[in-house]
Amino acid sequence: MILVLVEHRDGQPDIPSLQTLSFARTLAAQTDDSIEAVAFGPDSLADILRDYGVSRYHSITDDQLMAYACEAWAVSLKQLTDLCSPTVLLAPGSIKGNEVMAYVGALSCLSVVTNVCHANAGNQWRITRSSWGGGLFEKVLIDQDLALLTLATNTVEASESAADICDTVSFTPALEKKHFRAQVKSVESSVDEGMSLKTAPIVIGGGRGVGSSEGFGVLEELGEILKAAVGGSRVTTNNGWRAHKHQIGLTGNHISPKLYIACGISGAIQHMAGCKSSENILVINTDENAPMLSHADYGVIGDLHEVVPAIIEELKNS
Amino acid sequence: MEMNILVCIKQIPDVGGKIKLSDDGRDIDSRNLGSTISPHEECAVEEAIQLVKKEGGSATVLTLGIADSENQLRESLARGMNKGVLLHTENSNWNASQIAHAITDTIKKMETDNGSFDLILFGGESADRGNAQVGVLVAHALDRPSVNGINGLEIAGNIALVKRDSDEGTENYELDLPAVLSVKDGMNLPRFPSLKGTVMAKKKPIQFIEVEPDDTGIGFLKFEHTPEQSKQAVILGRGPEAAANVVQVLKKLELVR
Repeated sequence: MILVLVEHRDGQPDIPSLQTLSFARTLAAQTDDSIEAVAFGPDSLADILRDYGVSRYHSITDDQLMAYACEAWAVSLKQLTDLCSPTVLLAPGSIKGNEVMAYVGALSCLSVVTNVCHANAGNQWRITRSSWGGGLFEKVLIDQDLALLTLATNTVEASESAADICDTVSFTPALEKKHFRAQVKSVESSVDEGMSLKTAPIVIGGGRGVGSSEGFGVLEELGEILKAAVGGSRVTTNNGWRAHKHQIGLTGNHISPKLYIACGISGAIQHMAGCKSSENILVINTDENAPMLSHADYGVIGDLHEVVPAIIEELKNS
Repeated sequence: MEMNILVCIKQIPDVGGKIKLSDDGRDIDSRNLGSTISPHEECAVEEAIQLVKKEGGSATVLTLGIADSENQLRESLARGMNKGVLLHTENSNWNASQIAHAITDTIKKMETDNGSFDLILFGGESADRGNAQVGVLVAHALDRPSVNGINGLEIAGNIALVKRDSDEGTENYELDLPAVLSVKDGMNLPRFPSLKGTVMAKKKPIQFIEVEPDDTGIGFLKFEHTPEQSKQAVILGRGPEAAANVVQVLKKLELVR
């Protein structure tokens, strides 16, 4: 049996969790296993879980567990796996998923493979995981009775394939006070200001070639005209030219606009990790050998401080 | 409150735009490459330096890696950390559990001799394998609270007030010290080492300890390149003359009328 941890918001599973259920079905097809799910959430999740192929839902409804507490969640999962003996425990490779699974691994004295892209079942599991910010695959073998895996986000599409029935069983873990020593006390919802890097159809990124905080002025101006969000590579946030919240890259925002205009950015793999989901990439760079160009659809060889004003002029005239 | 802080960092090759693998695929070909640490870890180092400056105490930087990792320790010392620990191994393929075991053993010995660390900091995830596991594993082994990937930290007496961004918004935590936290890039603006700091760093103490990985249920096989996504970019022109072609592309993509 494959057991999947499902995260939800107000009783609606999140996208990474639905992707994880879809991935679980590809594993289940290899091993002829059934899929069960566990969530810290209401019984009503069962209907949608059934649509995604889950035949049994372990519902944990304990009030004190509704605010996330990593250890308490992990102890609950450990107790549930002891009770129902899955061969795989699978979670989304989210912040919480990776954190909880690390604890489950520690509690079980087992290793966890995070950010999995592909898995071949067998006596020994052959796993491909995402490494180096998605720049490399890493192949590993697991030799454990229970495989603990998290799924790399956005490697599998969430797709429905309904199970005949999904019965809901309630599970009540035995917890102690110390399991709640790191628990969410409150959540402040974030306020979106201006065009968001994550949702804007056009994103303009500046790199080392921008040269200074003031150098971003010309990118801002183009951004105004195109209604684009403006961000920067790590060089620009590290030098204080741009706030960190505007960073595009492995350790910043991951963007997926219709067009990404990368200005004066060489294209380190850490930057590519944040922008490779862009539908189209236009590079403006003085260096025709910049690695960024080998990931781009369009390129202009030239200094952004000359090219961008010319584009602004052209847009005003057309 | 005087704080005794430990920060754990990891040396990685500074690969730039393309990763080259060794012939057997088990290592990054790092010849001709410089080395660095993850941005998250630079912020962890900066946070420790700032906290010790404010509260007093001592900040220690630890790494597990090849002898050359001493360079990354020295750089952290140049930024303002007080002393270093190098868990030396020439084996580059440790997994998260193995790293956590070795670090935990070392911390236990250090704490027996010098008293408990109030705070143990990690980077949110390493820049190479990116498992985001070691901090949690060490916290569990030391029986301390932890939060992974934090964006804000304040110390109020014996309590760490922690903020972490999630999809729902910013989560607030209150953890009793001692605690284990892993830090996200952006929590602060890491300083660059000063010339004076670099000179002073050469005299700061580094303790060397030999370590070997223990057995675990996971075996590393090799790295592979992801399917080649390299594209041949259409060059729209050189310099400002390319502007008209750029606007044509914007029109073709229906982004401007």
